[in-house]
Amino acid sequence: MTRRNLNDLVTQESEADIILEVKNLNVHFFTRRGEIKAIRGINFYVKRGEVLGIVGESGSGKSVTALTLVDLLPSGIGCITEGDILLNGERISDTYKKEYRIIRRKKVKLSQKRTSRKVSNHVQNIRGHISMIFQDPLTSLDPLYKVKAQMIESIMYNNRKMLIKRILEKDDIKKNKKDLVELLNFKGIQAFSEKITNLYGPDGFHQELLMIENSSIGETEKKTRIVKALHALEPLDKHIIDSLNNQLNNLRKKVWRPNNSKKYRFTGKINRILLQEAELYSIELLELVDMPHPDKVMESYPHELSGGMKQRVMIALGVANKPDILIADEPTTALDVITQYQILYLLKTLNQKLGLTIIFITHDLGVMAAIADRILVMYAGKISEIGPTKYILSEPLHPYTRGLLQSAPSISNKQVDLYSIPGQVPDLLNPPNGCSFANRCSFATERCRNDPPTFNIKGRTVNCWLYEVKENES
Amino acid sequence: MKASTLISINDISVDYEIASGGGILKKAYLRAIQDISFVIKEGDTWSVVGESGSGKSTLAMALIGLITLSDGTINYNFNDQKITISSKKGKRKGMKSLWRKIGIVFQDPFSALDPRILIKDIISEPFIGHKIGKKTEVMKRIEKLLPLVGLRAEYLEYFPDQLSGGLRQRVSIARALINEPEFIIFDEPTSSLDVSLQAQILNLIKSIQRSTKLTYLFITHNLMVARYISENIIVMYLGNILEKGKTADIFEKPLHPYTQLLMASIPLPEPGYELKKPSAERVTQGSGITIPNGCVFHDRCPVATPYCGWTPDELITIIANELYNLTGERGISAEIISETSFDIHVVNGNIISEVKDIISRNSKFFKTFREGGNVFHIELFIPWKPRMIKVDEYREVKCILLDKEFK
Amino acid sequence: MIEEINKGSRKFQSPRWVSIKLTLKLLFRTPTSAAGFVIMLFYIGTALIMQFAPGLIGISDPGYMPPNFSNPFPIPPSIKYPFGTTYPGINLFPAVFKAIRIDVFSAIAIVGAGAIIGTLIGVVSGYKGKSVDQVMMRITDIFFSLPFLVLAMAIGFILGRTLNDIIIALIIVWWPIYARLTRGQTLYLKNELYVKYSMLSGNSTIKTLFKHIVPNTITPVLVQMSVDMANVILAIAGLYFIGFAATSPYLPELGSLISYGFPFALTAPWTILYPGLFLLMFALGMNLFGDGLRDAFNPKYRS
Repeated sequence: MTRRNLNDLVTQESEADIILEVKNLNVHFFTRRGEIKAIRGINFYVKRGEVLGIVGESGSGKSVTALTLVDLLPSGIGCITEGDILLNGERISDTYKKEYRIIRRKKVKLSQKRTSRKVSNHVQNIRGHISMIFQDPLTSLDPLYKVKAQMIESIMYNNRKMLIKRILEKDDIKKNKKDLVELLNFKGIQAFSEKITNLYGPDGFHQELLMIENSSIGETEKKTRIVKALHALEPLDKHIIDSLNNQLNNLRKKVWRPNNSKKYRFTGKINRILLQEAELYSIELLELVDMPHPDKVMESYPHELSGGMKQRVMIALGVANKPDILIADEPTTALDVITQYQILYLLKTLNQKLGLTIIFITHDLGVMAAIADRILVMYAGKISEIGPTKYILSEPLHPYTRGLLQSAPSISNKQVDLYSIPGQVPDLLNPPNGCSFANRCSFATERCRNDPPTFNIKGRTVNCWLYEVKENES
Repeated sequence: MKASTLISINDISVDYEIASGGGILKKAYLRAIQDISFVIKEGDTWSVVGESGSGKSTLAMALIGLITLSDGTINYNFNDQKITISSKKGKRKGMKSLWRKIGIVFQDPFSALDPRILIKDIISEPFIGHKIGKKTEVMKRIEKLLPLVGLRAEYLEYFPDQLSGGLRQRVSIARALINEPEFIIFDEPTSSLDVSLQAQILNLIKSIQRSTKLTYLFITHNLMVARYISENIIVMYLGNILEKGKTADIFEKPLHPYTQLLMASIPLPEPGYELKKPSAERVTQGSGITIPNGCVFHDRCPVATPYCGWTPDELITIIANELYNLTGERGISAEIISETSFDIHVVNGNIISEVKDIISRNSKFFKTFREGGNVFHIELFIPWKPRMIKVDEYREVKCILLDKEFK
Repeated sequence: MIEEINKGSRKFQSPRWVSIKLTLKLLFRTPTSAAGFVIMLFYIGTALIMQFAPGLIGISDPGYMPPNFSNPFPIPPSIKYPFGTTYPGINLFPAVFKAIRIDVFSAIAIVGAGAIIGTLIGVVSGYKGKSVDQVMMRITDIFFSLPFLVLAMAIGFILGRTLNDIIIALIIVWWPIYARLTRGQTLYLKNELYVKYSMLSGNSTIKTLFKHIVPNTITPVLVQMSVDMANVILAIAGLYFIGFAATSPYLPELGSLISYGFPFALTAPWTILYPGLFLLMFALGMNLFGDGLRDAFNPKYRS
C-alpha cells in the first residue's frame, strides 16, 4: 500500500456517504498574549448516519472544532485562518485570511467586517443543517421564560416553512376526511399511514398519530381514536389559506433573513395559528425524547426541571429542525451517571431511528465506547488518530491514545498504579515544531522532530511516525 | 495489631434551613443527611460515592466541623486529644483544636487559593494561623513537602493565577498536609481536572498514603475512582447511606439495587460495549425537597415492593403518566383519603378498561384495589422504615429487601 | 534551597509589578481613558506641587489670594494677568492653582475617609450577616434616602461652616455607598473557598477579614473612589458657591472663585470661565479615569 493522503481515502468512500468534510482546518485566536493556534491543520470526514466521537483533553481543540463548525467562535478573536468545511460537498465556511487584530502595535484591518445586522454567510449556510447542544443544561435555557416559549421561539424562527406546510396539509386532510376515513375502515391503519406519507411526506399529520400507533391498545380502539382526531380538526378560512400559501411561496424564494421582517410580517390571526402549530410540534418533539408529561414540562420554568430533563429539552430543540448533523459538546459531563446512561441511550436511539448523524465530543472514553461508531482523538490542536471504536479501544495505535486508555481508572484497568502521561500539554501560543506529543512520548525518536504525516492502516488513520515502517511493509 | 478507631460517627443528621413556604415565621428544613453512622480506623481509606445532591459534601463539612449537626455526635480520637462534636451549638474554640488535626482539599482549585497571596504564604497559612510554630520552622516543613506533592520550589513565589488547575490542587494538598494532620478529607479534588491530571493526583494521593499511612476520606461521584483509591466505600443517595463495606466486596457483589444500578450505568471503555434499555425508567422530576417516607430510593428502584414507602402522590403520578402515554388523555381525577389510601375517579367513561388495566399492572406497588363504578379505591401498606442491616463484619446495606425481620 | 531560586537566571519579575504594568497598559487602550488618566495626574501633580514646592512655579503664598482693592473690578486676560482678574482684584491665574490644591486634597480626604469607613462597615456587615447586617443596612438606607446636599448642610449647621467642618459633613454623607458596595462583594466572597480555608487555618475573624476579604474588594472600591472624587469636588464647590461655606481670600477654592465672579458673569465672563473650566475638567477627568480603571480591571481584557 503506497502512502496516500486523506483525500484519496475519502474518495474511496462513496461520495453520497460523506456528509461533512473538514479539510486542513486552521483556527487561530488573537488575544492579548498573542496568537493562539488552537487548531493546526485537521482533516476528517463524517459519514451520513454515523456517530463520530471526538475525544481529547482540555486544550486539545475539540470544543473549538465544534464551535468552528457552527461559526460560534468569539467574534474578532477567533477565526479560520486556513482550510475549508464542506457540507454535502458545498463549502460553508468563511475564511478570514487576513483577519488580524491589533497586537503589539501591528495594526491590520479585519477583512470581512460584519455589520451588526447582517448574519454571516457561514451561519446562513448551516441554518437548518447543523444543530448543537452544549454541556451545561443549567445555563442553556433562559430561566425567565417557560419551556414552551423557548421551544416555540426556536421553531417559529427557524422553521416557518415547515409549520406552514403542516398546517396546509392538515387542512388538506380535513377536506379529504371522508376518503381517508373510508380507507382507514376498510384497509386498516397500515394502509392509512402509507397513504398519508405518500401524500404529505413524513412530516404530515402522520406524526401526531405516532403516539396512538405505538401504544398497546387494540386495533379497533386505535381506529376510533384516529377517526375522532380527524373529525376534531377544524377547517380554516379560505383567506387564511391564501395568505399562508403566499408566505410559503415567498419563503421558498428567499432564505429567511432576520430584519427583513417587513416582507414576512404576519397578521395576528395567522401568527396565532402558527403558534398553535408550533406548540403541537413542540409536544411531539418532547415525546420523541421520552419526556414524561410533555404538556406539564412545556408549562414549567427551567428551574423546575432536573438536569436530565433540561438536557432532553435541548436535544428536542436540536432535533426540531431536522438537521443533517447534531453536534453534542459534552452533553453528559454535568449529569450523574444514571441520567447520563439514559441520555446516551436516547441519543443512540435517535441516531438509529431517525438516521441522525451525531458528532459527540467528550473527554470520557467510556462514553465513547457506548455511543460512538468512529472515534477521533485530538491532541494539542491536531488529530492523533481516527478509526472505528472497537479498534481504537482494543488496539490503540497512537501512543497518546494508549496513554489515555491507561490513565482512566476502570474495571479493565487492573494496574496497581494508574499510568499518568508525564509532562504537560504544550503551550499553543508557541506550539512546538514537529510532533506535538514528542516531549511526552516514550517512543519518540529523531524523526519526531518533523511533523508526522497521516498514515492509513486498515481503514484507520494515525499521525505517528511509528507506523511509517508498517505501511511500507504491507 | 488492631487499628484503633480514629473517628466514630454516630447517627448524625444535618438540616438546612430553607426559605419557608408556609408563612413568615414558620421555618422549613431540608434534611441534607440522615442518620449517618460509620467508623473510621487509623490508616483506613474511605470513599463516599454519590450523585450530586446525595449529601456527600455535607457529610464532609459536618466531619470537619464547618456545619453544625442537628442530631448525633462525632467522636474524634486523636493522638493527644479526644474531641466530640454534637448538635448543641459548637463552641468555636473547640472547633479550632479540631481544625488543627484535620486537613481538607476542596473540589474547585480556582477559588481555593486567594489570588492576592503568594503560594508560599498560602501553604504556610494553616501553620501560622494555628500557632504551631515559628515562621522559620514552616519553611523547613514546606521544603520537605514539595517533593512529596510534586511541586517545584520556584512555584512558591508565584501567585495562584499563574498556575494551572493541576498545580493548584497540589498546592491545596500541600496546604492540607502542612500541619501533619491525622486525617484528611478530599472533596472531589479531581472532578474539574482532565483524565491524565486526575491520574497524576490520584497516584500522588496513593503514594502519600503509602509512605505516611495517612487516613483519609475521599468523596467522588465516580465509582471507578473510588475503587482505585480506597479500601472502603460508602454509597450515598439523598442523604442516606445505602450501602457500606469493603471496596472489593461491593464491586464483586453489589447488594443494594441502587449500587447495582450505578455499576450497570458506568460506560466502560471497552470494545463491544453496548447500551441496553435503561432500567431506571422514571426520569426524575425536579428538586428533592420532600424526603420520602420509607426508602429514599423507592421511586426509582427497579425492584421496589409495596412496602418501600409509596405515597399516594407518587402512585397517582405514575398512573396518570401511564394513562397519558397510553391514551393521550388525562381523564382521571384523584382524591387522597389518607396517607395510605386514595381514590381514582375516572371522568371519561370510555377509558375505564384502560385504567383498570394500568392499575392492575401496577398492583405490585400497593396492597389492594377495589372497583366501584367509576371509582377505584386503592389501599397502601404502611411504609417500612429501612434500617442498616449488617451483612457481615464490614458490610452494611439499607434495603428492605434484605431485612430478614421484614419477611 | 528556596532562597536560591529567587536569584534565578531567568529574569524574574514580581507578579505585582507585572499586574501594575498591565493595568497601565490597559488604561491607555482607549483615548478617553488615557485622557482621564493624564488629567488626573495633572491635577494631583498640581496639588502636590502647590503643597510642597510652590516655589517651582513661582508662587509664594499657596494659601492666600491677595485682593487688590485699588483695582477691584475684573480685568480681562492679558499678558500680565493670563486668566484675568476677578472681583476683589484677585489674579485668577495663580488663584486657580491654589484653589486646585485645596479642592483636590479635600476631595481626597473625603473620599478616602469615606471609603475606609464604608468598607469597614460593609465588610463587617456582609461577613457577619443576620442581625448585624440588617441593622447596618437600615442605617445605610437612612443615609441614602437623604439628598446629600441637604444632609451636608444640616450637618454644617451643627458643626460650623469652615472647611474642616464641610469635610466632615461630606464624609458622613459619602460613606454609605462604599458600605453597600463592599457588602455585596463580601457576600460573594464569603462563599469563596479560600475564605473557608482561612477560618480552618485558625485565623480569627478579624484576620480573615483583613487578609482575605478586604484586599479582594479593593478593585471596585477604587473605581468608585475615582468617580466619587468628581462628585465630591462638585459638592464642595457647590457649597462654597451658594455661600453656605464661608468664603474668604485665605481659602482659595474654585467654588468661591466662581461666586466672586458671578455678579460679573455677563460683562466679564473670564471670571467664571476659568475656575469653572478647571472644575469641569477635573470632574470629567476623574469620571473618565474611573471608567478606564473599571475597564482595566475587567478580567476579560486582562487575559
